[in-house]
Amino acid sequence: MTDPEVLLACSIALLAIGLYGVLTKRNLLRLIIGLEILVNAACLCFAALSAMSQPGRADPLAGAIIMIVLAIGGCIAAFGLVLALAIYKRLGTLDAWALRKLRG
Amino acid sequence: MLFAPDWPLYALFASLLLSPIIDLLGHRRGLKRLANGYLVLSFGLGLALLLALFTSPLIWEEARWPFVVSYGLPGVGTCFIVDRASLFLSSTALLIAFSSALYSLGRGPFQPGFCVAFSALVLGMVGVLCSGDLLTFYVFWEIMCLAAYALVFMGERSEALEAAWKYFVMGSVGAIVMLFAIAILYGLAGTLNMPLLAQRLSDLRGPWPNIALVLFISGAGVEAALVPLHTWLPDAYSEAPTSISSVLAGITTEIGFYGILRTALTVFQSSSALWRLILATLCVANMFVGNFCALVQSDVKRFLAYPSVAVIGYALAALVVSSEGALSAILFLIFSHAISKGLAFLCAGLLSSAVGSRDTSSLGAAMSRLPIASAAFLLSLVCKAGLPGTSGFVEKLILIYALLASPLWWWLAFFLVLNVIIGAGAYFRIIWTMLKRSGKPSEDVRARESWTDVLPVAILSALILAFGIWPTPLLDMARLGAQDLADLQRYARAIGGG
Repeated sequence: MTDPEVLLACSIALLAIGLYGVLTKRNLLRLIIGLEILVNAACLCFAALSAMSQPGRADPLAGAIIMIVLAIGGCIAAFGLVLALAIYKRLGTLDAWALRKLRG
Repeated sequence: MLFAPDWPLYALFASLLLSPIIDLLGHRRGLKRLANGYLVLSFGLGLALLLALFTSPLIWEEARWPFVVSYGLPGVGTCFIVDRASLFLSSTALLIAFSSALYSLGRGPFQPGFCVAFSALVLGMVGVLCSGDLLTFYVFWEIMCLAAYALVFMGERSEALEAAWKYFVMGSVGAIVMLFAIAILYGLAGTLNMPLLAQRLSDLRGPWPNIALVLFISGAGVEAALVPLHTWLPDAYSEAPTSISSVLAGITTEIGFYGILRTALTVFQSSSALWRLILATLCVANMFVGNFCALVQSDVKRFLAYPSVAVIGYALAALVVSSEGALSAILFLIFSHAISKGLAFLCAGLLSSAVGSRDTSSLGAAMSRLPIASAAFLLSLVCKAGLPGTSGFVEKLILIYALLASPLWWWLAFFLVLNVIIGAGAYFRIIWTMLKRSGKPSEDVRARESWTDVLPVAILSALILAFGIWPTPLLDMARLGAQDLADLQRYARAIGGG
């Protein structure tokens, strides 16, 4: 495997890990970590695909996209943590299963 | 040119930049209404700019559209592509935001941060509508989504936290899945500019465009509430503050749908016919889930939230056909849905806060105390049920007509008619329970209608009746928008390609 292909494989592995985290974890902080892993997986995917489509040169567009996406990832994490803090203050727990009142 | 089409975007951007200062100032000085008043002003300014554009002869000049503002080289830099469809939907969004801001001037929420988040929501929606490349699209999409989570979080009840959390997790995962689709498209074509992507993808074969398509639809489908990704919607819309429910249910879901519409018509248009099949299946599922779930609700805000899922189904049916008639039916449907659903949420908020309960059977008790809100609520329900004389009737008529004109997808009209009947049943059930209780005004209802309550309700009711009786001007504008959506060549020429 060439370098970009290794990167792409890593990105898909990170996607799988992130989705596993988001779908199975009950702790809100672990869920946020799962989301952050997903954001990083997407960034890595951009880097790998950019290197694959134009071998030997770095595309400035991919770099710009990755920086913007990382900044948005920071916003997502910040908002998630604020929400988790508010939930902890109100309910006294970080268990996602405590949030099951709304149904139907 | 007196008014440039991109001015409303800059006006909203400036208002977002200024909003934290106003918000802080208002809360420091004890002027809790200052921030909400500022929202009314800034959305009013954006709406006035757009209306000035719609009344100018510029809108009829075919050759000027789409209007492109690009930063940097074509294909590398970012760009805004403003056409008449995005202007039509932007003015719809601003109209609903303006009336909700008016409502919030009297009824709140007055929390710190509300003004910033609401400005960001509206800027995000208009930005998504005007973006010409997928990076700009994604950035504005995230601005819109993050603002929407924050606004749901400001709901009065403690369940709002749960609703905001669900919305946050599902929406974020959806946006990241969409980002993966964007990454694949970038890897395939080396650009994110939508017209260029459409050109370069048209001669590509192989599974990758289809994988990107499926990822994109499932990612954007969270915000657009495609079944089975709609589960956050009833929670979020019923727990958000009423002024925000009105905007979210009225237009934000439709902006999510616009993301699918725009990419399906440009980026994925030539790559495969797969999207029509996927969307046709989802459309039938959306209609049935939305209408059947609405039938059994007793909480009024939850009841109003579910039919939004069904409306996305109606719009998807027209997207599957995607003839010019069907596209103008989509634009008309989005406008008509936005005003009637926005009005329904505002009135439901007024009535339920007067009786102190959100149960549909108790709302009738407020009817004699709040005559204007009750009449407008009934009007909005009747409009959603599709009675002649309201814009809801016209919306369904042109939609069915457009579906029947399609040689391949005419059978979707059958599902549509069936679902319109089920939906009407759900609406008439609520009307019946309200009228049954209206004779017994309860003594403990102490509510008055102030001008901030009456004005938005009156504007939206007048629009429902006006476009129900004389829909021609709106249909003309929707037709112009549909022309711009359907004409790929003009879209590609706009950035100097094709």
